[in-house]
Amino acid sequence: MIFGAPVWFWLLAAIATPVAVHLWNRKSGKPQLLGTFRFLPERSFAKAGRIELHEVPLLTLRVLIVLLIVLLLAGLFIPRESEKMETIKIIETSGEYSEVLTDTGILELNIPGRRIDEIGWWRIFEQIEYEYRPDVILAEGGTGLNRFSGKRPGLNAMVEWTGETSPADPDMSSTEPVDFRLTVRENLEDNRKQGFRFTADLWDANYLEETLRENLLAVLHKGEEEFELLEIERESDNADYLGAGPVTGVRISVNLFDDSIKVPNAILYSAVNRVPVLWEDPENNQRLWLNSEPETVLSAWFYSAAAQQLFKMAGASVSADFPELTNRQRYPLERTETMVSGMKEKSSAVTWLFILLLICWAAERSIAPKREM
Amino acid sequence: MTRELPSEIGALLSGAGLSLLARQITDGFLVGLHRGTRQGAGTEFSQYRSYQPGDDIRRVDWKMFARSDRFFVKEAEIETSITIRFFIDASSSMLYEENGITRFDYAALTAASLATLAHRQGDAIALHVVNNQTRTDLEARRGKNQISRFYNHLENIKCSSEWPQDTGWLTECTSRRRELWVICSDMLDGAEMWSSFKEMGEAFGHELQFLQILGEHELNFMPAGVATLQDPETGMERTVRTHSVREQYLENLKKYLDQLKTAVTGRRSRVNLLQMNHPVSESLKILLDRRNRL
Repeated sequence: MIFGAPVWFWLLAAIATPVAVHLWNRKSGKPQLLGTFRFLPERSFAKAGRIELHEVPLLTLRVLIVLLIVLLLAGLFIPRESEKMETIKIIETSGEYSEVLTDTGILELNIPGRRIDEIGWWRIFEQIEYEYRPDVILAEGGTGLNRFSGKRPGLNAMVEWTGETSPADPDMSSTEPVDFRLTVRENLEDNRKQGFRFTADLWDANYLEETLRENLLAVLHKGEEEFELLEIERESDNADYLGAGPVTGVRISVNLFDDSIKVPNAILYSAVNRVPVLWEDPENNQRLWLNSEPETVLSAWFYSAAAQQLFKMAGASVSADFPELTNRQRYPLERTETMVSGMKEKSSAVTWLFILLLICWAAERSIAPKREM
Repeated sequence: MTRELPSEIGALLSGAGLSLLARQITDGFLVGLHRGTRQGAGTEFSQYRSYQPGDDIRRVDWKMFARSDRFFVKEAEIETSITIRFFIDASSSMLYEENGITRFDYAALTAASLATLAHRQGDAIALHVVNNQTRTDLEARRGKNQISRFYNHLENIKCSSEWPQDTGWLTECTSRRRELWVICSDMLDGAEMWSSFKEMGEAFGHELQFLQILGEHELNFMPAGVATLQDPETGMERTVRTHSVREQYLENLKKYLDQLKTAVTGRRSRVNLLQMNHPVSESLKILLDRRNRL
């Protein structure tokens, strides 16, 4: 179980209210006259000093109601228990995506070729391993180099190729290491620097802080070449935000349930998968203009993404298929789809919690008047 | 599960007068307490008997003589007129309440219904509302306004104290005529006292009907839970876990009820257990069926 907003757990203290009400009710309970009083046995009287809760079922219901309200506010999320399949077969198809479970118990996934081009085999394998935890993945489809960007992920499943040819190990054919150096303006705020530093680490680049001119945020040195990230004052509107991924090549990855990010959910929802627009200088391809201000709480991610774009531009000038993110570089953005499915699960947990809350409330309302509590 | 209130109890709670309710209840009964005098002498045929010397010649059935050429005397059942004397417990234990009415309310309604029935068939009715501090008496009369006085006496009673333990006062509440005593009480004051009460009544030659009125919670005990209970007469309080004392309580109660039944059941006396959650009319029907006719 994961909680979206565990801060609400302080409300659990409200459980003390029904407990106190029941304790108080017992103390102030009006004695009932009983004409046959003298037939009560002498022993087994409840000890006067002993704390004994009155109407335990009713109290339980009330405590449950408080608990359910707290769980609703805390955003209970129950991760999906995925079904384990022993063998998954992936077949490249020119049609639409489909799933077929064969008589032999093999799940066949037909994935459109354009989708494989877009996300690559490694990511598909990773996703399948996450969802089905198979022992064997059988792959059948084109094995062009562009489909194996980045390092091969550490898979538990054994991958067997039944397609044209087995792929070459991309690590073996990777381009020569490039020497990057990222220089950041030293008078920037810490959270901006933090974002730049994060991206520099991802790309194994040297990180420096120096005095730079006013509108220059950072300079990326690749050998003798320089790539500048500049800041411009410009009105931004919604159109200045582009969708993530395929359009900009960069995603800001934020795990909604990551406790380390202290951000209200509403801001996260609006910010996720939006990337600041980086305007390329039409006369000089080695300049990017940064054209928006992030939410303060997200600025580290924002500048990290901007720097990512800068690195990508610099990399692209080396070779056409350079922007290959390593597994480590890609790590945060791989969580995006998981996060989306997690949100679905969360909403279903909310539905069940809400139904349970209604049932408890109705039960409490039907019992309480009878018990005069 | 809650039991639906008997209709007359509901009416009592909604403020209907005792007299009205008592009349409503008795309207449902065709047969009274015993054979009365309202229809005139000899109206109820019983049997034919051969004429014997000394019989009144006016009692010879001449139509029968015409048919059989023999003399037959037509016999009717002996008609009686007795005094119904009501003793109503006004001790604190009658304040025990269930479903919004007290034991005294239930007892008053039962007594008023029986009194209405008796009054309609011309019997004299008397009333004694008793505890060991005060006693409210209504002398036995047969008059037209007697039933109204009966209702009035019942409506202005405050229960307190206990039922008197000695029975000497009963000598002030009897007559030489044949009487039916109806005692409405919870009868929880000890079997010995009630035994002497019965003996006293029977010694006077009267018939006694004890109506013991108990509540559902008294008979079956409280629902499971923790309850603070108070003795209405002594004011003593106890907090009990009902589930742990129930068994012993029911055993003690049963023992007492058996003892009481043995003590007060006699040739001319009987104890009837009325439950407060049952309609008064139902309880009366059972009572009258048992008693049948005098």
